[in-house]
Order: sequence, then C-alpha cells, then structure tokens
Amino acid sequence: MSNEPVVPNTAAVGTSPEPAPIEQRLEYGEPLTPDQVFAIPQFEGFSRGKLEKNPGTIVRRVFEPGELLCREGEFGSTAFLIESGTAEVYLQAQMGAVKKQRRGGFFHRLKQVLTRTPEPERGAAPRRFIPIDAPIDLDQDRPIAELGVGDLFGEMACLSFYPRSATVRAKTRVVVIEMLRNILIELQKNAKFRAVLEEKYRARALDQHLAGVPLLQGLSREFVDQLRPKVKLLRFDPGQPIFKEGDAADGFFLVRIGFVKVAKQWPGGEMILSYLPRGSCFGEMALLSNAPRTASCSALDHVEVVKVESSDFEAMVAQFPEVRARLETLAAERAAQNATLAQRGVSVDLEQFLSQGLMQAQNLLLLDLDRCTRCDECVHGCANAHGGVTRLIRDGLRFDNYLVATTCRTCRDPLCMVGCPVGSIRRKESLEIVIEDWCIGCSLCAKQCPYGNISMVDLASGNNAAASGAPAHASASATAQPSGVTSSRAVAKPKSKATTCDLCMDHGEPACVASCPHDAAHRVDPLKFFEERLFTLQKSGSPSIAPPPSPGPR
Amino acid sequence: MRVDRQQRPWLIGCSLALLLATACWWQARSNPLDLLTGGSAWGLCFGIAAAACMLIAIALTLRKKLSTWPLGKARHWMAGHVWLGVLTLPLVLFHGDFEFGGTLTRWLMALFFVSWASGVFGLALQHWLPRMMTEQIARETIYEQIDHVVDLLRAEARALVEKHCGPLDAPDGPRTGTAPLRDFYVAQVQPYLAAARPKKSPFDQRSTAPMQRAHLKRLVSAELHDAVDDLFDVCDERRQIEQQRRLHHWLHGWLFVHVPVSWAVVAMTFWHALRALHYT
Repeated sequence: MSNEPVVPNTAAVGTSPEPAPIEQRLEYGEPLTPDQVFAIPQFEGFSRGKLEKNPGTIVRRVFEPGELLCREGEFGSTAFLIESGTAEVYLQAQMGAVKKQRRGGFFHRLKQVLTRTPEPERGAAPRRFIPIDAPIDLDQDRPIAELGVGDLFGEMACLSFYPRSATVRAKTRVVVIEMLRNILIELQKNAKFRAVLEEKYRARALDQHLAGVPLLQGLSREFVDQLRPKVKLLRFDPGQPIFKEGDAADGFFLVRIGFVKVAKQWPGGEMILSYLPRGSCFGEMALLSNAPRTASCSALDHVEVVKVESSDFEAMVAQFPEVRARLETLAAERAAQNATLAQRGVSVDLEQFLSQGLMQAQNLLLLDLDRCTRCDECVHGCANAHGGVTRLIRDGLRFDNYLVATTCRTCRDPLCMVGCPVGSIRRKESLEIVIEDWCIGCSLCAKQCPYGNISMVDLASGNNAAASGAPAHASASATAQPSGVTSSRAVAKPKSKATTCDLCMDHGEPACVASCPHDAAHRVDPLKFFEERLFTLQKSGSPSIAPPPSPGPR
Repeated sequence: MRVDRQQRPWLIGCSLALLLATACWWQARSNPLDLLTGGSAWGLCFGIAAAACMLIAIALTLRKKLSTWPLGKARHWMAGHVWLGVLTLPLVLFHGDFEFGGTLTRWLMALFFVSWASGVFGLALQHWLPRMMTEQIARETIYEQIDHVVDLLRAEARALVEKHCGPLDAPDGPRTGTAPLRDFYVAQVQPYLAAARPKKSPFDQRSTAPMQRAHLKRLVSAELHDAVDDLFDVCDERRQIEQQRRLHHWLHGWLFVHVPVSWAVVAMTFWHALRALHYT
C-alpha cells in the first residue's frame, strides 16, 4: 500500500526471519479503542491488556470504490480484515512478457515447426491457481477474485514482511480493519477466530489448493466434499519442525501460509531439497508406502499448514482407486528424484569448493578460457532463445582456466525460492529453476540469489506492449484486468519481471552451449566435472582454485 | 577455434580430400587430349567443389543468425568453415590449373587470397590469444564495460588519495607527511588513469611498476604503505584492462578484413560462374 510504512525485508535467508523494525503505530486511519475493537465480532474474546498496551496498532480505514488497498510487489507490514464492502484482488503483472518469442510471419511459423517450440500455453503450467496472500487463490487464466466481509488478507506480508502478492482495490465502499503483526498474532491465537478462519478456508481455498496439487488434479467433487471436514489447520513458528526424517507418517499436508523447508541429512551436512510455498503439498510419500518420512520438513517463517490425518486419508484413497494410482506414480517419481540428488551430493567434499559456492551448484555454465574468443555468441544465442533478453553474463569467478559464467547454477539450496509472494519461482522435476509468467516483479528472488544470477528485466525495454509506445493502461489492460476497468482507474503498473536461466529445457540443449562456435561453453555437473580436474591438479601440486579476479562487471 | 586433438577427424577428412583432388588434378593435366582449364570437365568439377566449400563456409554466418534453429551445433559449423575454407585454396588452384585467367578472375583470385590468408591469420590468433589473455589478464572484464570500469578506477584512486591526503584542491595543501603520495598521484597516476589509451608510463610495463612502488614507499611513512599498494593495484588493473583491449582488438580486428572480403569473393564467384556459363 502506498501510504503505509515501507519495511524492507531484512530477514536472513534460509533461517528464521527476524522481524524487521517497524513503526509501532499505524499512521493512517482511525485508531480503535478497545471497546470499538470488542464490538467487531472477530475480536470477541481478545485480550484487553494487549490492546491497551499497544495503542494505535489497529485502525479502521475506509476506501472509496477504485481506491487501492495494497499494491503487488510493495512491502507491507499490516494485515487487513474486511468489515464491510467488496474488494477485487488481482494481478497486474503481464503474463508471458518475458518468455514469449517474437511473433513473425512465414519464417516465424517455419521456425516454430522446425524447432518444435509451440507458443507458450497457459495450460502447460503445473498449477492452475496462483497462490496469493489471501483466503483465495487466483485462477491463472483470469487472475481476479473478490474478497468480502470477514476476509482476512495480507497475513504473510504482516507476519514475515514479504512483498504484497497481489493488488487489492475497493470495488464498493470498503471498510477494513488494518492491524500490525502483534495484533494479528494474538488474533490467530483466538480459538473462535480460528474456527471461522478454518471454515472459510475449507469453503473457499481448499478446493483450489487440492486442484493445484498435480496428483490430485481432477478430483471428483465427492472426494473433496468428503475431505473437507477432515482437514485441520496447524500453525508453526519459524524454525519449528513439522516432522523429521525417520518419523512415522501421520498425515498429508498442504501449505496455507508461509514457506516450508524440505531437507535431508547427508554426509557432510544437510541438503535442502526444496522450499514449498503456499499451495504446495508434502508428506504424501510416507502415506503411500507406510515407510518413515524420507525428509525433514520445518517452518521457514510463520507457517500454517492444512493437515489430513493418514487414517482419514487411507480410508478415502481406498474408496478412490484412481487417486491411489496417481499417488503411487508421484511417489515413485519423487523417490527417483531424491535418489538422483543424493547421488550428486556425496562424492566430493572440498572446503575451497564450498567457499566458492561451487559445491552448491548442480549445473554450471563453464567457459573454457583457452578456447573462448570472447565473441559473445553464447550471450546472443541465449538472447535469441528468450525473446531478446539474455539470461547470462559472460563474467564471474575463474576456476583454473574456466570462467564460471553468471547464470543460474540450479543450487542445491535454492535461496531464491524463499519468500516469493506468489510462488512463481519454483524448481522443476528436472531440477532447473523456472520463473512462471505471473511474476509480479518484486525482485525478492534477485536480491536473495547469492550469485546475482537472477536479472530483473525492465518491461519498458522488452518486447511487450509498453515498449511499443502504447500507454500504460493499454499495456496493462492486455493482461489481467477486472471487469469494468476504465483507463482512468488507478492501476499498478508492472515495472519489471525476474528472469533466470531455465537451461533451455524446451530447446533440447542450452542455447549458449549450442551457439558457441569454439566449443568453449559447457553446461556441466560441477561435482563430476571438477572432481576429475581437482584430482589431477592436486596430484600435480598446482593450486586448485584461483582467487576471484574481480567482483564482476562494475 | 583451437586446432587440437578434437579436430583430428576434420584433419584426416580434409587430407584425404586433398589427396584425392591432387590425384585427379595430376591425372587431368597428364591427359594430352583434354587441356585442363576452368571450363574443362575436370576444371568444372574442381570449380563446383570449390564453390560448394565456399558456400558451406559462408553459411556459418547464417547459422549464427539463426541460433535457435535446429541446424546443428555451431562448433561443427565453425570446424566446417575452417577446414573446408582451407581446402578451397587447392581446389581453386586446380580449377584454373594454377592460371589466373582474365581481369575478373585475377581480381577474384586476389580477393580470395586475401580472404583465405586473413582467415588463416585469424585462426592462428584465435588459437593463441585466448590462452594469452587468460594468463596475462587476471582482472578481465566484459569488453563493452571497459570504459565504465576505467571511470570507476579513476574515482577509486582519487577517493583513496583524498582519504589520506585531504582534498586535492585544498588551499592549504596536503596533510602532513602525505605530500609524496599526493604529488605522485597528481604527476603520474592521474594522467595515466585519465588517458584514453595510456602509453609510455611506468605503469604500462609490469616490470617497472614494482620499482616505482618501492620508491614511493621509501618516501612515505609506514601508515601509508597500504594506500600505496592500493593505488598501484588500481594502476595494475588499469594496465591489465588496457592490455585486454589491445588483445581484444587483435582477436577480432582481422574480421573487419575477412568478412567483407569473403562476401565479395562469394559475390564475384557467382558473377564469374554466370559469365562462364554465358560464354560457354
């Protein structure tokens, strides 16, 4: 929201985020007295002492139709409870603005036939719903929804200081209760409020979350209806374990709020398998095989999960054999993926490797500097494959006679995935990191990548409507707009989108490697590639890793 | 492209093709009944083979333009460009039986020699210079960023000196004991960093800079030794970047001759073929 205190995310990545310093009073709106607060049904039973100790931390605000309550990508520190009126929640970000290939005539079509690269399809994304910080998710094809009386939104932004995940605009005259973190935490402890919250979740978001789980897609209404009363919401504080590797399986989980860290113990330390955002599921493997948990899951920040008890789940799956078959297939795929990761992680343990961050990488772009003529064909090839926007910089650290180019390394611990307010950055089964079209351009992932390998692309200079000189509202209207939009309305203008190397999985071979005429560019698994070289170097007594020559392009 | 063990299949293939072409040429010129000229049967075969090699070699440009098309790996195209380009010379010579014909064909041959020789020269440069660049320039940057990096180095050096000596334009002069550092910066470092293409400076040679550094350290107190080291590091980075610029120009400068001349050769070859067909 534009008129609230902007709080940068100073949380330490990969650890429990420490609350950033915030103003203890809300600047705008009418501060509520304890009596006024108790008059609100949701606050029945709330601690009077808390309210008296923290005056000004809860206010009532009124928004006229068309006014923005909060804007996607901006940092916030408050949550909103709608007291009356209706608000629209939507994404302003342009879909496909970065990935889209250039359109053309005959040659473009011929190229598409030859390269077998069809136009990006919405349905190709694994999730139909975009997770946002509200009691409802947005449909990917039409990312607009309505929030009504009693809806609480902005919880993740308030609790963990993540950027706002969507833009909220008053559709009618809206009265909201805006609160700071201490009030929200207290409110969440209120049993009555939680009961209402759970009921709302069951009614509105559970279907969407289940539909977003790949193996549960296409579930019958009967299945969901049977599941609905059996779920329960659990809260976890930052760092608190949800379950540990080796524990007996007792349930299946869906993430409602926050990020869940999935890790596994390996010789040499813990390896992060994934960070699961809102809408993700976990714990299904152990349910199927009756085996102990294969990985540990813990709360990275303030997490709320929906738990389905294994006894309930078993009984339900027994009634639906097609669901069971799909679960078994997924369990086999996950097991194979974890086995691949394990194989990669145990072979080399070199201190220097760790200091350079190379141990973290699963796939490095290396340029053989004895062969590289610095012609930048790799950069051009990358740009050509990605609509004119390159995803690599031919600069970085040197190892022996190799340059470790600045491009995604598909890290074992993908810190970039932590905190994405709309869950648009994720890891595919083939381990590459992808950023989905619904990125809102908050740049959190780019800030969190320790190697500077995620770039923010200014849409104004990219191949999109804004670049062609169309007015801002025209370019925005080509994307997600609520019904009845007029150009005079105040809209959030998308500024940029995050891009990172996707290993050109759609092209067979990375374009940078295929484009190098000097056989200097290689995409390698560093553990395998450097293991041999380090062995050779150590035998010959020469230094294994050169110090970084420069911090990169200045 | 480095000519190394990976190029062995191409070397063997092209050597065999050259042997075959030489045998054919020897056979053709030893036949007293059929004079070997560009228009004879063998001459035409050599001419067509040479033109085909030229076209394949020039197609590398198209491969680069259509980088996302499934046209094979660029390195294979580059190898084909180099080896078939090399093979074109004997084929062209066999085509005319080492005669250069009239005015058009003489010009064509002259341009072809320039194109071929510049290509071989470029190949040699690309074989040696990348390794030299890697060894000599530890602080390499992106070529297009060089001017920007130099600007930053200037600012860094000035800030360093002002931190220890006070503002350069201070009316009361430098702080006590820092005058040698400031004077050295003003007399030597500043002009060196300010020059677009610095030459004839003590920093221009890696060997003379350490003597300068040792001399300056003798003039200033021990507290300023780190600052002296930092200042010389900035100058060394500037020297490396200038060396990178020079090597980069060598590495790519030959293309300004090779590429346009090669396209001219292809165009004249077509013209030559059309004229030959017209008069046949």
